[in-house]
Amino acid sequence: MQYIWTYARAAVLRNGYRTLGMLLGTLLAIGLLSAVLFYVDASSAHMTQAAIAGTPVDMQVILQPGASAGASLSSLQQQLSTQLGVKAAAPFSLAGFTSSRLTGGKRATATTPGALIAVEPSYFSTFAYPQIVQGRFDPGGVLISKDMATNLGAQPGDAILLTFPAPAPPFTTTVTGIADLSGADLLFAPTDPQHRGMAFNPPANVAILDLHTFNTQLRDALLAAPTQPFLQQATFGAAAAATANGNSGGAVVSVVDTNEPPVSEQLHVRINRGALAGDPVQAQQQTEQLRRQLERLAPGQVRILNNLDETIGKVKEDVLWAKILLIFLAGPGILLAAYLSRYATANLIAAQRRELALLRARGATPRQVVAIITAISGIVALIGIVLGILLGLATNMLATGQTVLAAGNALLLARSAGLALVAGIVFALVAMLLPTRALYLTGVQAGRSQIVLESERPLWQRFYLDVACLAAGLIVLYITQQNRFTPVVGGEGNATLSLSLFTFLAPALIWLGAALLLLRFSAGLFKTSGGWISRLLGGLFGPAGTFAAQGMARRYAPLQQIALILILTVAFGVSLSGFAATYRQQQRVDAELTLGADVRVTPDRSTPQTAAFASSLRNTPGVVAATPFDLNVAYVGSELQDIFGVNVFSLRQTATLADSFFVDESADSVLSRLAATADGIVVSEETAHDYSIAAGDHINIRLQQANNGQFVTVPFQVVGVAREFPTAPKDSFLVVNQDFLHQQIGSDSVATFLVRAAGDPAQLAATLTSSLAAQLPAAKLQVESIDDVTAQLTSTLTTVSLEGLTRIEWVYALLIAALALTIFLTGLLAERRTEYATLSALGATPIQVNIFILCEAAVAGVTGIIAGTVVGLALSQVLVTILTAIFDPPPSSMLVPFTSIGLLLALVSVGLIVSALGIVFLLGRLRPAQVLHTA
Amino acid sequence: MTEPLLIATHLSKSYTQGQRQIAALHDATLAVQPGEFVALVGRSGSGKSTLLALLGGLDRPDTGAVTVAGTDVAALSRRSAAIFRRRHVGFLFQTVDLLPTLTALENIMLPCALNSARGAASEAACREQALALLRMLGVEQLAGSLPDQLSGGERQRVGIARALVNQPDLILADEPTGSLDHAAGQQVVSALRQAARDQQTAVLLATHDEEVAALADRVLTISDGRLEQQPVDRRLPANLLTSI
Repeated sequence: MQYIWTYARAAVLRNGYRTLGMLLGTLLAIGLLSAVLFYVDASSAHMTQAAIAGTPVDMQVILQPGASAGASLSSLQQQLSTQLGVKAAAPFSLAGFTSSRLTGGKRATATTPGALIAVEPSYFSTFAYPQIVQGRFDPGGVLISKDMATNLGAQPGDAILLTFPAPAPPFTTTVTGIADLSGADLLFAPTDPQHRGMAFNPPANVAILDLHTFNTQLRDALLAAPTQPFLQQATFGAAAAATANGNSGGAVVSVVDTNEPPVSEQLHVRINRGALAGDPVQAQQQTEQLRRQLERLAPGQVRILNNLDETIGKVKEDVLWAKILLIFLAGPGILLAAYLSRYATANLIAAQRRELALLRARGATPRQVVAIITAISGIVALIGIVLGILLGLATNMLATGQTVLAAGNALLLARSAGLALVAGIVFALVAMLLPTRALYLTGVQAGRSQIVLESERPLWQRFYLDVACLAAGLIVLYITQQNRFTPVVGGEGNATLSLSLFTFLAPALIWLGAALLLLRFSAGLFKTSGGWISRLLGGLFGPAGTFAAQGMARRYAPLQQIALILILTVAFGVSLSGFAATYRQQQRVDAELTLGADVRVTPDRSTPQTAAFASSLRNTPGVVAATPFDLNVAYVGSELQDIFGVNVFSLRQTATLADSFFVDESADSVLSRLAATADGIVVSEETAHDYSIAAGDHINIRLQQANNGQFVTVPFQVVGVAREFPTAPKDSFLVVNQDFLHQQIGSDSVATFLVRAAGDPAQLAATLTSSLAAQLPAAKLQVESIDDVTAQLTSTLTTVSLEGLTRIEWVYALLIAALALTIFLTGLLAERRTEYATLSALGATPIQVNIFILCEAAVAGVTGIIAGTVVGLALSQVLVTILTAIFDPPPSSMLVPFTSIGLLLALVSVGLIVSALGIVFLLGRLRPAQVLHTA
Repeated sequence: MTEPLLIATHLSKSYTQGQRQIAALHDATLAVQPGEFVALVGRSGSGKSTLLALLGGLDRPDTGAVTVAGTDVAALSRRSAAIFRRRHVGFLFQTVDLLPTLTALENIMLPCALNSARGAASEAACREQALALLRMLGVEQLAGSLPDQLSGGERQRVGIARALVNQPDLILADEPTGSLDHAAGQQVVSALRQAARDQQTAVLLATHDEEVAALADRVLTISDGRLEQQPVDRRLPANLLTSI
């Protein structure tokens, strides 16, 4: 055994550069793999955390009917609060009212049934929910939901009357504030397991009362009400809003007898979310474990609803698809890195080829030779793997600016590090075994020869696996394009995706096929380099070029390997850049569609602004255009819909209005018609379908009057149908001319203003916030940018950030190319120093000697850049087709990022030139006399 | 007496190996006449290869001067030295060092092509010249073979052809028979001698083999970097050479 180590050590020291090459090759391969895995972990953790961030209450503790007196909510609250993993517990009561009415003689509006929530004042700070958007929570009055405020036309300070089923008396109180209850559906959902998962319409009218007031003035009377599903009538029938005012004519959508008590008394629990695992499956297990632990505090007395479990369950599939998307995008890079690892290892073993053949000739057994190879490359590989994992961790943190070392991610990290370790060992084994096998197949005599002549074509070439993969990939692509995968819209309009692994199969097969086909073509190209390449190089560089080409034709394997690495590097970089750029563009389109434009400025109801405010926005530096955008509600039949009042001219300057937003017509023709028709209206596709409306029809819409809140019927002429519109992705909506709308409702105040930014929207939002605060100190304005929207939607697949991954892949692709070139050129120098010394002795000038080596680098580089760019663009186009299933609206075409592709090609070219110049420098230091003497 | 083709005076060369200074050649002086066949005999490490490298302009002496065909070789730049070698000096090595990716014919053509103007005409002329040399050395059938497909003796003959292709004034042969058996070695040397005689080329052949040296017109002995002249003319009759 000792002799193996002695030999291996000597071999490693003798081949210092190649050993270093192998070490760096393994380091980069495992560094990239682990960086990608850690990135996926970080994304998974981020998506999970983002999903649960929108969940107002982690768990709801429901006291079971017939619970013993000892199991009171207050004693349970104390017990829960001290449990490990629980951050806080607070009481919460839910009842229903049959109607609400604005009193005090201002108007005579009323609402349909609604929900009454009772909480302690500390509830708002404990759960950071609901958000009070106007006024404040005062125990002497109530907060009302935004929808209820709209329906009643109520403002803080107004008096309202809530009515309840008998024997509960009516309750008069004062509105002290308005709260945003979006995302609170779970709180109103049935608590019994049978109906918990059912689809339902959350109540639009919600009032929030102080718990003490509720308990002293309403609780007992409400509890005495007969058990009836009035709460569910309110909950499930909310869509039939405003029946009480006599205008709606709507009916209860569904009444479900869920046996909910008239007053649902609960404890709401906030757990320590920071301790949750980044992996959604594990996080779900953790919350379930905690739920069971809490239920054991009062066995049989309470039932605990795990809202986090439900939320994480919904995002689980998104996380899985995000993982697949990220790994898929990184896959070619990882394979490239693995190939580099194999290349570097084979390079080290090739250095031993003649020596090992000599050992075999002198009687070394196959086992001894394999042991030597294993000793040489195994240790280097192991060091490379360990350092690679550390490098991956560091790269991830540098590229994303986030640490993945959070406590919740420990298992994820350990799993990824383990996976990288196993993959590294597999890479190393393959890298060692392939050249070892080749060593045996060539025989001792061939092993001692100066060059390795290429043997017969490999199996995959004989069976045309490359062509088969490409054909299969194109067929799969055709099928997936014919059967578009449609995003499924879930609750509250959040898109959940229905993708298939099939979608990813096409690009994967095309990648594999293209790589193999390139291998076949490059072999063919270089084999024939004695022909046209010889003439070309001869014409450029004289006889040295001719002989260099003839040499390449007979020793093309190293050239083919480096050319393939360059082709794959460039193709990978180009396709990733194209995909990422298109992805970013669609993210922006998606966010812009949700927000309406780059930036949105929304005045508070207490300080309304008119359309003239848009002019002052336009004067702010960094603003390209601004438009007033009115947002009201109107009835189409019995359905309450959003109605947008727009100024067509300025809207077109401010917001993106793609042709794909409109049905059967271009944006230009529909909007021009709208501008030319004062009472024109554009209806949503959904509305057009539901009510069989077409362009040219006359329809009646009921608009709410500003002065009294009454709805009046106004005739409109339909000028077009839209699929989407700024601020309204996927919803039912109506678009009308702003001036006409203002005339009809008797108000000139505008709900919001859209702004087009010249540069970074986030920066403009900050500028606007400060400048508007200075100009209009009394005005309360909310300024949002598309960055804020993206941040709010991070739990969906469309908002997975590819920035960090792209940065990681880019840096590694360039490092791989640089290392491969260095290995290739130093390999040439080490292998052929005797040849170059001989050339010098035969009278080749230094320039002529350089031409021999530079020709090979140039052929590999030019082949890599041209073929890589073409293949990369083609693959990018294939990848973009995946986006058609992810984004709505889908991208109309691939965005070619000329700057980043140009930068990539420039960097590869510079790397090539620098490496070649380095070799020229080393060649200049070669002493032919000494080389020839020691050869 | 004609002007010597090669005149080397007081050549010295030392190398640094680690921290040791090794005197590879010390105060060597010699002259070679045009067409003369001179053997340089010495053991391994005696300084033979160093002397040949200095004479061929592959290396520069620490002291002394080398003139070949009237040119001060030591004073030439690397580029000029390469061009000078190409035109006036042919090299022949123990391991031959044929370029492994070029055929025998291409290896022979290479120095000629490097010396030629660009174009098909000069390439054709080089090809013709190379084929003529292969014919002369009796290995024409090996023209399309790669070096790995040749025996040691065949490689040396291709090497001789390559050294002669530019019709140099001087061939510097460094142990050309070192890796060959006795018979093959004798054949190679006689082939070299015959070819050099045909082209009126002087040969300086380094060897440690006394029998090979015996075929030379004159023998120089080198020991520990010091050159000793043996003034004996050992020119062999032509009929004996052809019989070997």
